[in-house]
Amino acid sequence: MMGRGRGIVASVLGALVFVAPQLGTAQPYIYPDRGQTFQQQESDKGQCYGWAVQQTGFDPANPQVAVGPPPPSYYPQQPQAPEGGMLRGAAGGAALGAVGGAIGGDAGKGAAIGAGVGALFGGMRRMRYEEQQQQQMQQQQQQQQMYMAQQQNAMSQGRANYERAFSACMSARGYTVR
Amino acid sequence: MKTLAFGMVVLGAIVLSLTPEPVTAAGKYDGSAPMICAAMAVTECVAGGRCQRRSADQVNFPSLFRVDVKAMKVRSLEAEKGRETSIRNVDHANGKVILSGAEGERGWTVLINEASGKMSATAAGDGEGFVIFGQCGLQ
Repeated sequence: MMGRGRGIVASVLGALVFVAPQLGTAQPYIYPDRGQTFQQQESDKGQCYGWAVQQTGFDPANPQVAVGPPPPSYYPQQPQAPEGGMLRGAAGGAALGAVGGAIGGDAGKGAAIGAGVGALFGGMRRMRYEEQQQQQMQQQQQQQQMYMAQQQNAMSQGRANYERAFSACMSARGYTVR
Repeated sequence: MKTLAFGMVVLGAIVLSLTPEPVTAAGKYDGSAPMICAAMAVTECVAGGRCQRRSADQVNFPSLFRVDVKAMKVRSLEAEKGRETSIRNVDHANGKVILSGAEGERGWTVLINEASGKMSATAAGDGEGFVIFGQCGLQ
């Protein structure tokens, strides 16, 4: 009874393995050299599946490889809104208003008077934000490409190992696997 | 005939409304009184020819500054910065007052239309330059 139950479980597992996505690789052809019945074949497949997964750590029904976390996606930081934001873009009218306010004494209150002397035009600096952003984006893309390549390699390797183990198991049980 | 006369009146009114106000020989913004100027548009250029639109804050330039030609000073109105520079030269040409100076490794000019107060400024450095457009008003 127990043996029959295990056989059913193994058959189901075997069916799952071959229904599961095969990562674009062809399914192996299995020929029963000793005239095993279909039920026996399914049982053997299921057991060899479990053994191969255990041996290789790669499960074709749930293909996962350990290559570390993916690099974080690149979200460029937005430049901070300038303090004089009201002067930007089409806010010419607001700028004029600011001039008016300044003349009226609002914007100029406590301004420069008594403040330290510093460079006005000499203190201007180029904004390198966009250049930095481009560099960061390129680095990020390279990292992501490397990560994808690593993942694909690891996946292919895991799959190949699994197939070798599965094939070895099935061969030992009297099947020809190609 | 009546319609033609009416059309002429309307046309005349439009023409008159579009005529600019007479400009006095020495405009309001000739530097005889201190002015407050707003930097409304800033463009940053590099020697390769690439220019980018910026805000005044992004290039560390005050949005509001005071131009005092008599005192020969241009001064930021932003209290926390308290920056100023000295005017070295003052010229008047074709209704414009042109101020210039040098600071650090840069030379600068500020041109103000004496009639309208429109302001154009440049700051030129080694392989870089800034162009600032804005508006000035009397203090």
